[in-house]
Amino acid sequence: MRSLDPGAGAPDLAAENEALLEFLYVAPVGLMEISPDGEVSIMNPLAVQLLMPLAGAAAMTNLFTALEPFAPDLRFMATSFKDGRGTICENRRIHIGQADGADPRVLACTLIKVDEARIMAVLTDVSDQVAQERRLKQAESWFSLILSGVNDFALMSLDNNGRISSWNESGIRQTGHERKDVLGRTMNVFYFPDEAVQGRALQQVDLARRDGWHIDEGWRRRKDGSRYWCQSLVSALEEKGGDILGYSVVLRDVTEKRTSADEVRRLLTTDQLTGVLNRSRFFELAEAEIARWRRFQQPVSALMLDIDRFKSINDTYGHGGGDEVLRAVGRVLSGGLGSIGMVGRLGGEEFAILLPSIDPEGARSMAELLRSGVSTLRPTVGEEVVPVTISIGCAGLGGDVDTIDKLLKRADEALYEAKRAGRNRVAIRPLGRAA
Amino acid sequence: MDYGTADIRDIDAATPEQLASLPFGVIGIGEGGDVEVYSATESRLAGLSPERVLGKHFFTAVAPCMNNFMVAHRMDEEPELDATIDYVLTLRMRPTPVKLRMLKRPGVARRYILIQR
Repeated sequence: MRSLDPGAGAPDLAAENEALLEFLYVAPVGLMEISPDGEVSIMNPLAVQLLMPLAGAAAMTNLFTALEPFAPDLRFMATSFKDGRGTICENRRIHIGQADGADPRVLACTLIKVDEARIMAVLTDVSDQVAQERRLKQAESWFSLILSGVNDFALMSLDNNGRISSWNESGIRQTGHERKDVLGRTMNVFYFPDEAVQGRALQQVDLARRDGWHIDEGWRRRKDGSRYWCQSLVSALEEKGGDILGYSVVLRDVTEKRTSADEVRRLLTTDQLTGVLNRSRFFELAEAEIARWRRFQQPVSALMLDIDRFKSINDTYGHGGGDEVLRAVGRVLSGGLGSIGMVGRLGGEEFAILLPSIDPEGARSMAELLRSGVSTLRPTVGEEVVPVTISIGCAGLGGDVDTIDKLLKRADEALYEAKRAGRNRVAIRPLGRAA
Repeated sequence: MDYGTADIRDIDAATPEQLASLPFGVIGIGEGGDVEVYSATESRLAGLSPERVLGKHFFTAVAPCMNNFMVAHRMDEEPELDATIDYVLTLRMRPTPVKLRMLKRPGVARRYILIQR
């Protein structure tokens, strides 16, 4: 029973004393009573804990001696303090070392003169606080540098619903949007409409809510409609309890880096002569399309096509003539399909086209357009016009045709049929028919 | 038993009465850091009764003055320890030079601090 409790009956001085002792033993600040020249008359254990590693046992009996190497003026401050009582210093910070760049070790020292013979000293370890202040200062200078000087960053914050709640000069500079254009809206405002429909901006916020942060990159849209390649970092601002207060967002314009990366990718994935996909890239993308087809079972068709009598073109006009024909055909194929399909050169004069979301009948119509487009080409070699036609075979995924190899084999059979029937024509292998 | 040479195993096996007869204080700390042994000598010199101390976490609730790299850290980190250091304790708030002997040994669950004033 604690005798400090006034209801405890007769005062038990011994128990009261013990409770006081215990209170001082565990008090989380260092407390000392010292003489004006620093001699310690009373101190609690925390004071010892703080000073002992600095001064060692020998110097512990005088506070000013113990702190001499770190705060040599402390003794002078105390002895030159003329008033009979008052605060000599308050939370005076004493740096007690910061070996090899580690976090600083700092004590705060308060000295209060009680009367001519006594000074109360309070010591606290504020190392954590100082470290935190330093971090804040660093973050602050980092951010102000970004905000003021660097052009390719934009910073903003979102509220907990993902709506833009702050917007500044860096964002205006990067996107052209003024405050009134974006405040209260979601990050969809930076996306092109087709992607905004897919909800990528909101998805990013959801992922940041789940994981704490999320990084994404892709084309974004400026106010004037132009696009730029943007890396976006969304991080959740979390309260201690785990509630999300909002998000902070950094947008980075990396268009220039992207352009050179694009160039490398183009070199790695396209056929140098014709500009269509090279063989390996074509199969890579085709495999991805087949995987999607297995999940969603939307129609997928393929065309195999081949330039008629290419060998004789080469023989007649030389390889330069052959190359010119290949280039011209490549342009028609890419231009005629736009973004609907993927054109690859599989080798020699042989091309393949994959048409996602298009059934074999639709594919046949497209093939017919391409065939007639090529037949009107008039590529020239020197002064001579080289006549050029193509034959095309169509097939679709379905039934036992369930891999890219089987699909192209089926289309190749149709191509052979078209060749046999006289060239410059389209043939189709209907779905489900055995090979 | 003598302050400078007492073996941790003998101290661990001693009865409270035997510890009370020693001229130096003995504190035994369990694996979780709580005080399990608090000799009568130590109780008298520190001014704290065993009931106030036993079961409490030694370095945080009883003797925060030793919660630094010189004592607590060494006793936590070193697998085996028999070291005597000069220290200052605040017995009844008076800075008092003492010797601390820290003892730790594999096979003995408790760690011990022997305090000689």
